[in-house]
Amino acid sequence: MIFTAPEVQDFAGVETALTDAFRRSQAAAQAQEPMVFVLRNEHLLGQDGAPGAMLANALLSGMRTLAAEGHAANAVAVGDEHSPEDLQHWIEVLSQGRGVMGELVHVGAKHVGKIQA
Amino acid sequence: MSRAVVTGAARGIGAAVADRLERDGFDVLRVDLAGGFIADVTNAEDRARIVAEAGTVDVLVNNAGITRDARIVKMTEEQFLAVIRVNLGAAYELSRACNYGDGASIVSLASRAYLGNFGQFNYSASKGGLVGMTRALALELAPRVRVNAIAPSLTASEMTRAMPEKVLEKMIASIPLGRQAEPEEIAETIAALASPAAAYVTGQVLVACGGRSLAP
Repeated sequence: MIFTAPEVQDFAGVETALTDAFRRSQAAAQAQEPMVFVLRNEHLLGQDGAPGAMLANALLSGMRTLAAEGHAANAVAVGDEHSPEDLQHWIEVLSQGRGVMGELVHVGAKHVGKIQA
Repeated sequence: MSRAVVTGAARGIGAAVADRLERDGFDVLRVDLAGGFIADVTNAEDRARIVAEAGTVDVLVNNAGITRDARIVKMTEEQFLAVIRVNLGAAYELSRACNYGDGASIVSLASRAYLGNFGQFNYSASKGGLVGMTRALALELAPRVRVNAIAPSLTASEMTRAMPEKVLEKMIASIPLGRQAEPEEIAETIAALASPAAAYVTGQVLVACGGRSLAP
């Protein structure tokens, strides 16, 4: 299961996106499928508005709880400078669900020197 | 007199924070479903009443929260949404709605569970969302308003007093400081974050967990 956080403008959008993530995560957990959440670094850091920041960080925390419950859940965070090929590579690696759980991979270096998400 | 608003102020950490801020000289609006200024923070009309009653806010403490624990495979959508709406949605909407004075401070109650916690997909997501809100609002409201969060772990409450003794003992054994927090201790930290002592701190999450997030 690959869940890419949509752009949201308000809390209604956050709630809709989180509900979708909940349904898909639950289905994946029941099917024992690996899960990958695709987020934006700027949202994790709170640099592009509160709705996007709430959604991205909620998904990151939810992903870590999925891992705590034994599911192969991970996340990728990308910046505007990332190449689609690099993102696809890391999604494929994490989609294999091999040993890595609860991890956040940053594609690009925009997070360096910032708070640890 | 400076004005403070504390949600979920009828008991536990909320009551302790309200007491602590009153000792610091704040005029505290204690918001709760069951006492003080009675309001449901998930209700837009009730939030408007809070904003009108509060006037110019110097400190807002987003404390109101609930739990509806279950493993992801067993959790209902109702359990998921209830926690997201109270813990995250209400805090965000109230934080946006309040009228702040210069130098005001918002402190939100996150939780160590934002780092991930078994059986709490809804709760950890809501608290992670609060962390994101804290970072974004810190940038958005600077330099007039500081925005921070605190992430406590096990804190003495009616909930922990109702736990089976062996379950509580096992949880406490995972805390390096060897005990759960008292609400008054968390209140002290919140009051410090809200005070001029932390005047250069914004957008941060202070994990007050007795070392539990480090322990095996």
